[in-house]
Amino acid sequence: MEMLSFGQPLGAIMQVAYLVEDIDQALAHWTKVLGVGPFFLFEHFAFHDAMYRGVPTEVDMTIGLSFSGSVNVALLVQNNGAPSIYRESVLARGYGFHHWAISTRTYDADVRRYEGMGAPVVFSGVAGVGARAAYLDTAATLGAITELIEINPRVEGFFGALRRAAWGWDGVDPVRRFDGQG
Amino acid sequence: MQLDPQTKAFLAAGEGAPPLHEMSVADARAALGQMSAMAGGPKLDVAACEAREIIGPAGPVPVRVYWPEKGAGALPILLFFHGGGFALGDISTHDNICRFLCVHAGVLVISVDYRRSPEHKFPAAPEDCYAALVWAAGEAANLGGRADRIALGGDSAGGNLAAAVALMARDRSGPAIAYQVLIYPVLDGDPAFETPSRREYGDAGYILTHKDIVWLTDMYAAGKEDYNSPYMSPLRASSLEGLPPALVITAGFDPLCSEGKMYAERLAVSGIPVEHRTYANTVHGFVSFSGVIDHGKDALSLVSRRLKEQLGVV
Repeated sequence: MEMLSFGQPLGAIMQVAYLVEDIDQALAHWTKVLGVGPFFLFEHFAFHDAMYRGVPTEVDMTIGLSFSGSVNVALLVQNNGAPSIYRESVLARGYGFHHWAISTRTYDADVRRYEGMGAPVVFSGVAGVGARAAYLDTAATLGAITELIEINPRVEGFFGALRRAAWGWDGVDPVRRFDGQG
Repeated sequence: MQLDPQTKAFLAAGEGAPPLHEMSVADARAALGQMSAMAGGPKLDVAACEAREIIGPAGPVPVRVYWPEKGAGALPILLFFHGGGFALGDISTHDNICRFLCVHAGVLVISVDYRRSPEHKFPAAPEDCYAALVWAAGEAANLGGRADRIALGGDSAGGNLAAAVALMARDRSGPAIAYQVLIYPVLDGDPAFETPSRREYGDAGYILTHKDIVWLTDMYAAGKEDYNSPYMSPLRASSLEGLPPALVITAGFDPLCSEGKMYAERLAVSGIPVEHRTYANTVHGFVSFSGVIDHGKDALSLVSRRLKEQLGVV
């Protein structure tokens, strides 16, 4: 079993993601009540070549990312009304838990495997850090979406940095923004 | 927004002194040395501090190595590049900053005496700094450091060099960098580069002015074509993807404030974990004046906490 540098085995659930209505409220809950942090807030998170149910789309996302242990926690807000799996999920099931993400080094084969099992790709793209990501529609069977994240050294480094921050967190400055006041 | 009383008092004390760009290089170097000696924070005790020489692209480059403790096992490393507009400043002017970070972050600090302008034009400085990175990674074990926990840091021109070396390491598949700390960095080499803060504070007379930037650039750049190099103008890099996580510190009353924020935003949009903190009520260089401006000490404490967090052994 290959252990990824941020502490989860390859192929295991590496992320739990939530659609939230109010990012500040969600961040306060996660950092104060659950003690998870620090969160790095990405406004307009880069997600290239987004495809939603076979059609190109342009989503504008705000994403807060942190780690609980070796599992990445993602808080998601869609800032625009573009068609997407996020918008579809909010309309169908409301806010709350949205997806688990599973790491893979055999992205194409895994996508085909899931499709063969009746879980088609409903949303896909490339995150700024260089990771291909595919969202598989497992809502009918699991009540939530499953995401595949392609692992490469940069992706490992990215999540590794977030995990180091969480493990080294001194409890101060729970949210890291790019307009923070000293 | 107003200047805080300590910054005001510091600026008032310097009133009447000629602006940097009207001095000779020698006088400006001496003036900066005096200013950091008078306004810099205390020189904290470290376990050990040694001068070394590394092999640079054009000859030996002196470095100063600081240990927070000796024989403690493998320590994270901060490779530090001093500020001073590429022409001024040296290891000594930033000795107190390096000591503070060494003690409070618990990291091994390597301060680099890169070649300065006008004696040496771009890209002498970033190439020396990159050579220091390669040396630090190779020598880490012998120094008692960890090659997989190297951060880059610098203030002003040094922040530019830290950003540049991070780009160089990525582009050249060089040593892995775990974190970058950019303190009020200059991020575009063209003195005509326009940003809201360059417009608003270019003539305000707060430590660094547009005329100083022109003077320093004329010494640093061999020609205008250098402005296009991402190693002089990190903001012009075609991609920031794959760079290390970053802490960007800016000052509110600084011509360079806007570009720091722009770079942080571009890093975030490129998927890089980044934090940007503005010390709204103070001026360029305030970290070097931490003996008289508390924001300077606050910023150094913040940097120390982040280095600990990001370079910790977990």
